[in-house]
Amino acid sequence: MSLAVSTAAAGPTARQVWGGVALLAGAVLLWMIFGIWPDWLDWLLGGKKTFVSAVLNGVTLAGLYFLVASGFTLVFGLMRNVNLAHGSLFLLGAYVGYDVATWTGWWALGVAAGALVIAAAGALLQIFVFQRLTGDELRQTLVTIGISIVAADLMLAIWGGKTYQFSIPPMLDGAVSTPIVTAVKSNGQIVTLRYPFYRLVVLAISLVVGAALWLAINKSRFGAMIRAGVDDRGMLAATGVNVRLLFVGVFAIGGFLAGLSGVIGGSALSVAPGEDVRYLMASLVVVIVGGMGSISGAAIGALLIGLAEQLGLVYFPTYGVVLTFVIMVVTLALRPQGIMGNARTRLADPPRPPAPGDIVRVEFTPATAALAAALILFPIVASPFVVFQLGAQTLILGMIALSLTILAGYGGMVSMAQLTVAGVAGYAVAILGANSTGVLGLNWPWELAVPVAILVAGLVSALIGAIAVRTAGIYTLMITLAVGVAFFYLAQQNYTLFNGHSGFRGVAPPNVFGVSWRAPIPFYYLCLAVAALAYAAVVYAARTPFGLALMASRDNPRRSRAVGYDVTWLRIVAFFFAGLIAGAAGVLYVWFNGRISPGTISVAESVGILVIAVIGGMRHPIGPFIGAALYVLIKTFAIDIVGADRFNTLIGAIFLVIVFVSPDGVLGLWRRVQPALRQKSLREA
Amino acid sequence: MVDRNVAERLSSNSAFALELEGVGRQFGALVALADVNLRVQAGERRAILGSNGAGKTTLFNAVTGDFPPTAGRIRFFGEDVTNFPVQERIRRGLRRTYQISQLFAGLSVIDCVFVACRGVSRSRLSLLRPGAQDATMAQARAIARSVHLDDILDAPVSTLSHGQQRQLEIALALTGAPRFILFDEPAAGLSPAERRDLVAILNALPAHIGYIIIEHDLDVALRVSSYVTMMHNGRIFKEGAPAEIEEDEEVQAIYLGEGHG
Repeated sequence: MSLAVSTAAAGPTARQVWGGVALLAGAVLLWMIFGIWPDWLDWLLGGKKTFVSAVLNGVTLAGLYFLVASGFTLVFGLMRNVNLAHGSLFLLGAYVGYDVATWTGWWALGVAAGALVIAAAGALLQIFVFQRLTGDELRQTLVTIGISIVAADLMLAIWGGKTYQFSIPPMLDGAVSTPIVTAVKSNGQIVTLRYPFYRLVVLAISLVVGAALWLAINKSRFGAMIRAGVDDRGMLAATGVNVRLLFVGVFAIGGFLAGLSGVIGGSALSVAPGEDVRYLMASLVVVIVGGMGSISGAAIGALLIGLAEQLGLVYFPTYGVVLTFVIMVVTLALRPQGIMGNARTRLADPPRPPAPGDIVRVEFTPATAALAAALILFPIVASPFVVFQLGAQTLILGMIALSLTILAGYGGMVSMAQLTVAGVAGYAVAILGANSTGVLGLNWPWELAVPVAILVAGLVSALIGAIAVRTAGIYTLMITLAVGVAFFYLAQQNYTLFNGHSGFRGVAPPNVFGVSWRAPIPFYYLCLAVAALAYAAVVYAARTPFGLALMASRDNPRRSRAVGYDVTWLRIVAFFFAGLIAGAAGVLYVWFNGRISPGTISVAESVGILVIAVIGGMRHPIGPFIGAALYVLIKTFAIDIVGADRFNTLIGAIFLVIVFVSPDGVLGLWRRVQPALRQKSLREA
Repeated sequence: MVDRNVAERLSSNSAFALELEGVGRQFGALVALADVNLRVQAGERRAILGSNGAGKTTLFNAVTGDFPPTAGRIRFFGEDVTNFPVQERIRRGLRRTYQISQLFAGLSVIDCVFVACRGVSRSRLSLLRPGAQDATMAQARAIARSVHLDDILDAPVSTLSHGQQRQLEIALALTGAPRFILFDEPAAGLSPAERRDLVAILNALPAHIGYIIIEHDLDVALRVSSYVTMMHNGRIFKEGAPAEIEEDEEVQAIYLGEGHG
């Protein structure tokens, strides 16, 4: 049966309806731009000039987003490689372009250099890194994460934390008059809108690039190969096409687009650390909304997101990100594969062989008891500083990573939003309980605030799960990452609830039973008790019908449905339980730090949780704690090894080595070394 | 583990286990199934024959909801299940096996069968470990024994031989209280001895459990069914008793591939 041949369930009629809606919306928008506004509309939208400027800003930003996202989606469509280093390529292109433009004095040379250098970098990445990992989507993506960690850190080392401003050639600079009437004065004089010329140039470039890409993909032989490869890589190779070379070529194009948009976008706005995350986020959301792997989808997604961002900035400033987020959620709810996405994306939920990271069977053993004893006795041999800074932090981060490990190891769902969930609990405790910031702090007693905070975290996690698990595999990672980044920007922008950039200070554990739980030793035992509870709950639950069903749905969702399970519901419930664990850890984390701010839940920190889980190994729930111990140790002693500022390069490099050498982390490394050691001792005997 | 709902529905006593009215399935422009009308009585055992691409597995996928039909209605014991998700049909007593084994590769044999047994019970998402006297576990063991897997209960599914995987595939269709089962080429790749086993297992099923079996091996198909439906190019093209079908010239022409001239 040729079940592989499938298309969107929506027939031509549904498409016509949507086309009609889009046409109507376009017509209304055109009238709003070029027509003369009645007074009530002026009053409603705060003046035509404001609105039209926001729309123009949105459209030009959409042009930039399209440039960035088209490279991302092209690479993904053909190679199934979710290149999370795409933002890093963007930023590197901007820096290179800036240096060349400043050095030669030719802006155009900067543009060319940025695009070409990154194209070469992309080709080299494909040849030396991704070619070795073909077919292993998750590992490819993990590697791109490792690269982005190291790249961000090295770029910071080379170019520093400064913000660079390009000098644009005078002929492209300045403002021009547009044929858009913003007002008619009482004397009949017409006022037209003036708009920065360079932004219109960005829009024009993106239109040209978009048209070129469309022609190349739909009308050329090269494009035919790409389209064939998107549909069926194996068949394309079987027809004699050099798929390796094709992949290198496409990655080079993806890099070219990233570098080009880096210089173009950097010239429109500015170049600074952190822009990599911003444009990665934009690419992710644009591609999730528009449809993964589709160029026209990227155009539609970019337009929606660009407009939403700029209109949101004008009309509801502190909740602007929410609008972007809502667009993403609504799209995923109605069309999980994205607006122009292929329905197969959604059905691609194939059975899979056991992966190195899968948890198969875990029980309590004598080793568990020995470990527990050692951890209980730890404060006797260690100083309070070590107990608190290393011990408690390890246990907290280990618990957050544990919540990721159970989703990934038992459920096959790699969630990047677990620190976000912990952060939700942390914010909830700061808001509901007491803090010393003078903002909010409802002063609920801890007996109420803490359980509510954990429950809220569980529910938020379930919500994230509901959004993410309707698609399969690698998309879960993309969507949860996008959700995490969106929450970070929301917390940063919003002052009414999250107190913006500074967050909340002075959040501390209560005094209960006459013990001050903020003192190092009691706090360590508090963390140990909660972590032990979480660990025991996970080990117990794994052998319950729920745990077995979750593992079954990881191995073969289709069969799981065919024996009576609602796989989507099952996965959402798993997200809820993982959220409770992350939430409990989040409460401890805010007590540990004494404060919470957007920085606590930034992308880099979220990636840190993934690093912990991967380094430790996901095949056993003890893995995340081992990973956390290594992470905290390295972080604490990095000053002595590479200097305080290069911790990320070191941990990123270790992460890359682990992903390459031992996909199931230190635990897997041990498992591999163990038999060899045993053999050696036999030989010696 | 007879669910109370299932027991109620059993007593509701609809004459037909399965009724298909004008069922069709398109994949884009490809018509895989067109205007299929089919009625199978409760307890009836039917074989579906047809060459590759005739639409047999597509028919199964439409009935279970793996790939829901794009046209027509499907009734299961009188209840319209056309728009039900897969698991809702399974919970009502429908079971199936797959042409290519669809198992839980990371689990052991007994866990695999246990998960399937719990899937059709109310306590499917229980957070309590099954005790020593657990009824579902006992049923899982009994099912594993009935398909001759009882001496490898703790073996990981990924280590099973092809024949053992086919047996496990059948075990997953016998869980709970099945009322009607769809067998998709259960004999594919089995040795002659294993085929004899399969025939014995099918013939030993309780009389109230009906099934449809897709099978290319006429030796198997005609020995375990009382009625035969022939499919060709996505349509039903002939129905009759096994003997009639075997004799039919048109059937022979299509089925033996002599109809090209």
